[in-house]
Amino acid sequence: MNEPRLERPNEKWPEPVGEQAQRDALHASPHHLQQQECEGLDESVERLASERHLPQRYVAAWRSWDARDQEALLRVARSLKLRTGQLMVAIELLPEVALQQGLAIAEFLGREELRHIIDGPGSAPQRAHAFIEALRTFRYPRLNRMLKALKDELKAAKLLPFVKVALPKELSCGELRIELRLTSQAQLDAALKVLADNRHVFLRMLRILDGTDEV
Amino acid sequence: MKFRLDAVYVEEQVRTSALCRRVLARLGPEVPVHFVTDGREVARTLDGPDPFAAGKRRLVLMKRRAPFLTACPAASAQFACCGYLVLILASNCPMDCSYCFLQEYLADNPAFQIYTNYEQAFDELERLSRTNPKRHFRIGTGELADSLAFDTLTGICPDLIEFFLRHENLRLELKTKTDEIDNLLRLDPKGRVLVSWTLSPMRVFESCERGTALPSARIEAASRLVEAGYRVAFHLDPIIPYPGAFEDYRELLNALFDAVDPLKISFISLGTLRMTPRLRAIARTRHPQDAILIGGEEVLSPDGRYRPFYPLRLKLYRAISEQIRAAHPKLVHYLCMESPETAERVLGSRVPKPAALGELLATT
Repeated sequence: MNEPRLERPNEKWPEPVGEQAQRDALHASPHHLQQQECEGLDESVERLASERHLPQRYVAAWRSWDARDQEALLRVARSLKLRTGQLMVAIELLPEVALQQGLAIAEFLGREELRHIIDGPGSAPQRAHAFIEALRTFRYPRLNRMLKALKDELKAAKLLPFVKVALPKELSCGELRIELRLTSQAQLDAALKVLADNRHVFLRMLRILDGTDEV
Repeated sequence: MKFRLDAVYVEEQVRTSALCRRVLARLGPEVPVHFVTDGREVARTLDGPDPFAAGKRRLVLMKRRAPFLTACPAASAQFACCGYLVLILASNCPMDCSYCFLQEYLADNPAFQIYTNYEQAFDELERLSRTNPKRHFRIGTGELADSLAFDTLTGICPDLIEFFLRHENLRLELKTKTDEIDNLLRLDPKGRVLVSWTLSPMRVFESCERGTALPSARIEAASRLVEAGYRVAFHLDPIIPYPGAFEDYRELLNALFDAVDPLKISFISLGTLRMTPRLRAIARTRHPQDAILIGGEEVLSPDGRYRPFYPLRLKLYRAISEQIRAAHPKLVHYLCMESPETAERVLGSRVPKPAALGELLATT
């Protein structure tokens, strides 16, 4: 699938989009809203929430938004066929990202990077996954940049199937976990060699986790 | 500072106490005063969409039934603690910071309570001093309330200072986010009273702090108290690593060290933002437009609190620590509510045990 073409996040939150893009977003007319045309926004949100068995807390949060914002997410959710978990993530992250950006949620959803995903090629599940990843990248730009750097390091290392490296979840601590699952001396020797060969990779990862390496 | 009070409740049994009479005399006639049998009842029962904010506007003058002197509520075996002791003379605070832990800690008991029987605290302190003559203790009144924000109402500080000056092994720490130092300037601290300020960069002040003095005003107040013979300390807490934070904290420390000679600073504590899931939920509900609070890159950490993700946290701690060392290599600084391992990673040396650090901070 095509990866979303996101700006590389940097120390500054991304700039707000221009007015034209915002207008476009607000007036975007996806084609899956026949159902909604026959019912009001409240009913449409409730219907989708019910279809997805969305927990009441999330329904309430969604319903508390401005009508245009509610509708903007409704369109995205229908277009991308967001699953329950994805919808929950979107409801949690969108107000936070919009606040970071100084935009209304509907305006934020009109950003070109997101429209590229929402209206772009690929299956609905692929686009939904890319959409959620993009939201996370907007919401946690530095964390994602660091995670990507660590994953790139890991990819570059030529490890063996029985040598697993686990990063701390959401980089919540500075610990790199290396797990060896061995059944023979040959595997032990191979594992020790691969660890030694990749010592520089692990050191670089440890420096990233220690906050001492620039990413 | 100016209080916005909806009502004052006075427990019948304390209405003749000196503190109660003082407070009532200093309050304006526009605030209704009610007398109640048990202050605890009115301290807990607050309605409305934001009971915590309503609690700040309901002053209850009452007797404290629990001990005044306690361990710091943040103390834990999992952290490298500083041996701080807390003297609870009041509960809640007229200011309203979006990151404040009191939003959770006092959620079920939110009224602004002032304990009129504070002389009993002196008995507890007396015992502590007498039974541990060879140890030194740092004891603060600014954990569940601001130490100076309501002193114009209560006038407690002169009594406190007078008591602490008579006890060599007890060091009083008055912790504040105000610049209300007029009462203190009238006293002679004999170089043995510590006043500390929580400091934040302007952007955090503007986004997160309501009712507090400007950071520059706090620094100015500190400078004046140094001149008046007080010891001063600072708490960079919470440190929030928003985009631009590295520059902002550097500027904040530059401004601090320009105004206050680093040699005259007793210590600086550092602590990044940390919130239990419940506190985080409460704060987000109460302050939905606080972009710095809402937009931070905090993740659920192994201790069950949301904290800035670890490498970012370490990096900001180190930048601040290096600047403090550059200002004066021996300026004591330590991390608050962090593990010994994290403290060691940042500070580059093993952290002392709480009692030893407490001793150092009480005597520096």
